[in-house]
Amino acid sequence: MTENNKLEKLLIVDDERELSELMKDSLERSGYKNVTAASSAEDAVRIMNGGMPDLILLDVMMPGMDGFELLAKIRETSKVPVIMLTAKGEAEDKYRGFGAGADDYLVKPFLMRELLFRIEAVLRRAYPEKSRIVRLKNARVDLDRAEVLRGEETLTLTAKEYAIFMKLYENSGRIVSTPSLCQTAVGEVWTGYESTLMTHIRHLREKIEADPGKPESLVTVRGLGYKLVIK
Amino acid sequence: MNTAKFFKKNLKRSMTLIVLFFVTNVCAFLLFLTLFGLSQQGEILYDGVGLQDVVDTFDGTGISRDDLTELLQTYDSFAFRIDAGGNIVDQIGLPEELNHQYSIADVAGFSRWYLDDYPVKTEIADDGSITVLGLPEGSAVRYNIIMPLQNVAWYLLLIPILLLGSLFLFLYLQWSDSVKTRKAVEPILNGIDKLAAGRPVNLPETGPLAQVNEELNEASRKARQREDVRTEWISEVSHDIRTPLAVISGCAEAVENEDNARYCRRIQANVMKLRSLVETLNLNNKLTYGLVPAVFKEESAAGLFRDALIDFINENNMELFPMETDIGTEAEETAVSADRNLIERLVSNLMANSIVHNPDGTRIDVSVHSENGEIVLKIRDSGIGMEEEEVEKLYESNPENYESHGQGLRLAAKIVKVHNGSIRFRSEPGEYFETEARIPVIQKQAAD
Repeated sequence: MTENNKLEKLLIVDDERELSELMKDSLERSGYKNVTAASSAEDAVRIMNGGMPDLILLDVMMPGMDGFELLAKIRETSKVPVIMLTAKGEAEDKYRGFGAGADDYLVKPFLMRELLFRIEAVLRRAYPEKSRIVRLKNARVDLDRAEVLRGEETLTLTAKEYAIFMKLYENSGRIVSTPSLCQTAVGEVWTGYESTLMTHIRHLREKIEADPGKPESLVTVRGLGYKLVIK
Repeated sequence: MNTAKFFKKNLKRSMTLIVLFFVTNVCAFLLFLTLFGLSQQGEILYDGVGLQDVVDTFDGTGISRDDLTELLQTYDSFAFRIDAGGNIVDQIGLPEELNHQYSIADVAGFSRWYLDDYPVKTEIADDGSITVLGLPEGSAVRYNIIMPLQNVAWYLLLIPILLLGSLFLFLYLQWSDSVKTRKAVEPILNGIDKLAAGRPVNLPETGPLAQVNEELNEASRKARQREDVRTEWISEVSHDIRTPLAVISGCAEAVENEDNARYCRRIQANVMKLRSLVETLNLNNKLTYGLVPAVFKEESAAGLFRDALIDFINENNMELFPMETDIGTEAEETAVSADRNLIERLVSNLMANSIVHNPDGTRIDVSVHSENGEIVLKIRDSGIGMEEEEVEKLYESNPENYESHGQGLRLAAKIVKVHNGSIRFRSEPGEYFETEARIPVIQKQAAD
């Protein structure tokens, strides 16, 4: 866990005090020093009136106004990233067609490290300018300049390589399917683009890996896709 | 239920009844005729005394004249005798208006019909005298039938025709009645079947059996309500269990260090097992009672299964289980009609089955291929496997007794069934466990 203090303001909205305290505790130990907990949607509205947080963790099932109602209310005025805490099937059964607008879902019970991962991924997507340098095992990537820094060497990423890298980076630690990477690189139609994708991946590896034949950062998950491992 | 059989039996019974009824009536009629019938033709006056006795008394041989007079008076009757010339030669109680000479025409008249309005019976003696017994006016009916012989033959023919006609009419009525009843009853029987199977019943509340339909609909509504309550209850319980589980999991994570990592991981693993169990129970219940309407969309088979696998791997720690995935290129262009959520659940249940019951390091092979108009998903682990009888039990969708083992696989089977597919479980204890799910392909996508 990182020692750096993170400045993002997080708001937890959950009527289960024990769980929200545990989340707050976990997040604080991981460096998020600016965490507020609300015990109801009404409470959350009051807190948000005093200033919008950078990210909201929102429980679905709450007495009074529930999570989806609050989400709809938030979305009337704000695009603040929201992670819903719920059971996936449950939310979609009950609120089919209504749940749109959440940035991610997390199924209860979840691992705290999974929660942290999701928060980081959503923050990265929502506020890309806040983390400019990605540290990999054998290189660093400057996202603002689309450059790979390896010791004294500076290599430039092409537009396609950059798009593919960004997609993997936003989902780092997780598998991104080949079709969705192709889609990122070329748009909707991706069929037949796989070999081109492999070429881009090879070039990316040549830039970020010590030994492109034995990738340590941009790994292949056979039959499924690729995964970026951040240091 | 075989309604045709039921009505055939009913028809047989009615036929037997009608034959019995007919026979009984004929017998009773014949008996009545024998006892009180026309064959007596008024011969018997009363108390065993008849025209023959009157003749005998006038001849001076029968019962005494006084006795006869008394008897005739009692019954308001009379008797007289005329000679061949039509003159009255003897009489008892003869009404005044009849006491006259009779012409041949008179005799011809009353020997066939009535004498004035009195029903009479006549007896002609050898000497040409006629003895007449008269009954009170309106006390008896005389009816003489004259019919050409030819017509009698027709009548004899007509009787069986009429009988046969009646029989056919009866059969027709019975048959049309059966058809009508069957039409009304069949939906009710189907409704009862549905009710027993736990499916909703909605019969039209009209027709002669409307009340029965109403009652069935009501019973169905009530059963439905109970199911809804139960499903809702399970859903709420499964939701409420999640929060304490999250707290347990979070605490285990918080206190984890190098010394206790083994135990903390075990807590985590069991929390996830409980979560999976509760989710399975919840979805299984909803699927059984059709409360989760599946939303089918045309999906690329490869994409669908790939996404589901990636989801599972991303959300579960798979580092200790070497995995090989083989998704056929032909599956990329194969479309299936599927509910994404259910397919995700299918894949996650099958994968979870392989990692939960097997030791770390168990190899898992997943393949998705398109063959013979079906998309075939195979998930095979080289783990501890399962005994044959255990495998057989997996096919029972709702076992009599709650089987804690294999709930996830049973739900997987149910999901495949919802997709009109089929599922096969194969295993060799100590060697492998394999699931093969087949889902029909809807059409070939044009490759572009």
